[in-house]
Amino acid sequence: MRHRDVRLHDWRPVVLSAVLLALCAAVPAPAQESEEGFVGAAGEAPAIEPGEVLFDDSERFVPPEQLPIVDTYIKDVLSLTEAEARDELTAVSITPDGEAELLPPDDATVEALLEAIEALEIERFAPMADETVDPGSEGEGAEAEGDNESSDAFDGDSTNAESVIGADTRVRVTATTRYPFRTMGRIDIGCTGTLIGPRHVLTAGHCVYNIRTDRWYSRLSFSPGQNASVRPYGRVGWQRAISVRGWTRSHKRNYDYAMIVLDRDVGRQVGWMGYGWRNPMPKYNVNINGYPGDKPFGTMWHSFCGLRIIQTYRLYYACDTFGGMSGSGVYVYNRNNNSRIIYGIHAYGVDSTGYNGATRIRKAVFENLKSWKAKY
Amino acid sequence: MGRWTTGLVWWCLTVVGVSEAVSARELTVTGEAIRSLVNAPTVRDVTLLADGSNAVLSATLGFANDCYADAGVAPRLLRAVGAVPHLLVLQRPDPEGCPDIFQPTDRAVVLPLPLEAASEAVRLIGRPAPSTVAIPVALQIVPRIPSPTQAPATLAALPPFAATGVSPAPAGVPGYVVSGEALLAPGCEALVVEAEVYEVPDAAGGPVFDVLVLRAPERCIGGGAPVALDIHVRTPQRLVGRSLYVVNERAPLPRGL
Repeated sequence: MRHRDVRLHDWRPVVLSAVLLALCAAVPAPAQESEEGFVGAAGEAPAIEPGEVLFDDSERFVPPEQLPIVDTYIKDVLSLTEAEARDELTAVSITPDGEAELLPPDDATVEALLEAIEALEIERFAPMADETVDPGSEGEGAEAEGDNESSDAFDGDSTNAESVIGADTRVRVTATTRYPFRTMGRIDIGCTGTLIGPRHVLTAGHCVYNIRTDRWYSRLSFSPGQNASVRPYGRVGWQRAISVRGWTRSHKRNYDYAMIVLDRDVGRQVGWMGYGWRNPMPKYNVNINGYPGDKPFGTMWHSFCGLRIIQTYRLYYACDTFGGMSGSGVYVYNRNNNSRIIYGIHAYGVDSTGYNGATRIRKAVFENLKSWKAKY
Repeated sequence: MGRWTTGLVWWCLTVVGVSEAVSARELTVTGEAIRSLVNAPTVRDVTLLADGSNAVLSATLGFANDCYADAGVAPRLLRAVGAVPHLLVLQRPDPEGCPDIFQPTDRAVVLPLPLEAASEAVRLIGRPAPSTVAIPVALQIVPRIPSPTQAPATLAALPPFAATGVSPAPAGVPGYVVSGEALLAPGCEALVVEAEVYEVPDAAGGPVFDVLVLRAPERCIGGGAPVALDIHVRTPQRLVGRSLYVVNERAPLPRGL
């Protein structure tokens, strides 16, 4: 049973003050934020500019009931009670010994409001939400909006995927000990993960917690840069797996993200990737690297394509993927400043949209990942 | 006057000649018309069973995980007039998308086939490709066929096609060109023909066969005059070590690309 009236009553004072501020504000600039990566002990850190404009909720807020319904997320927000929102954003982590720990959000209501604002941003500034958009159709040159990784790391030419389930355009990554490929690794359970900190592996929620059985996976060791049977940096054990209750309890795909905390700081050696959020999200070209199960065991494969559909919780694209790619970072490479930022976590194969999809790193996801990195 | 008539005749002959030289319709296959079977289930074993009036394909298929196995398959029976039918086994997409975790699972499936397949063998096109692209599956008559577990295969009647050659695409353009003649019903022109290509990977996941399927509206299937076609397959893949298999041929065999 939902308690919409109660929630609205609770939020109304905040809503009214924010509306006043919003009326005074000029057209807001796009919001973004990112944490930079680290190239590892072997080389220079990639130059990544910090967020140009920080998200400022006080200048953007409008009452949730005035938000247009653009996707299921906003419907969720409008129907969530404060308690439900707090519950879904609560992190739950587990150790290999089976000890569980809860990490409630500092202020779930504010978090929910921030997400609602994100949704508003999409509606106001990115009307392509829920629409199929051809890359470059709005003057965004393919190369200017996300570059392909260097082809000399691959066994073949990497081309931009043109269609979903079209020709298989994946190419094998042979230089897996080169940055950034060495930050990516195979997770024993049959997934892919990417280091975003010294010991912090970003992956999908369904790679650590099985919602069919409501059990955590125990085979979560991580092999960065694995290349067939060769594990150049070893198989690194794990000390903690973290997701949110929105996934582990509510089983909502919108919360399908997780972090694995390793038992040693292999990231000091191999480096890690940057990650961030943007709103509105441009129709970038993205890179995806991972360990598909249809290829020879333990081999890393690369795909490159344009984002096609951008939703509040999901990013959709035509990159070729297969089982085993879950958890792969969906990242934008900017050759000009040598930056790589993960904006999504590959999670699902083709659905009714006709595209493969990633859990989008939103403001709330970004904040969660940051806090998990700080705590663990 | 006589000279004018002669000139007109030569002009007509020239026009006819030119029109004959370019009469082969150029058909380009690209984008979503080229489809990899990478995401199709893996065929472990398969039998074709019939009880005299109904037929099913009974198979054990390998899926990437339980979600894909639950979603099942989308089989398509392709049959050119006068040729052996081919069964294409594709993955049925889950409306919400399946998690891309790799936890392979095998599932026994029973696919009902159209009655047309109840009295003859079929050739199965699936993943991975064995040494020959299409697996011949002989019909076994049994007293009682097992109950279907999947949706029936859709049947597509195809126009017959006789390939006369395969050549590289023009310089600077990827892919290759298949030339040949399709048989269309009277009144149908080459413009009605559509083409699609299925990339069939081997056990290592690399594409080794291109399966070309030519389609035409139902009213255009069956007899008639041959129409020339040049089919340009703009595949982004390298052609080394790959073969072409045209389902519409009467007795299709792989051709090296």
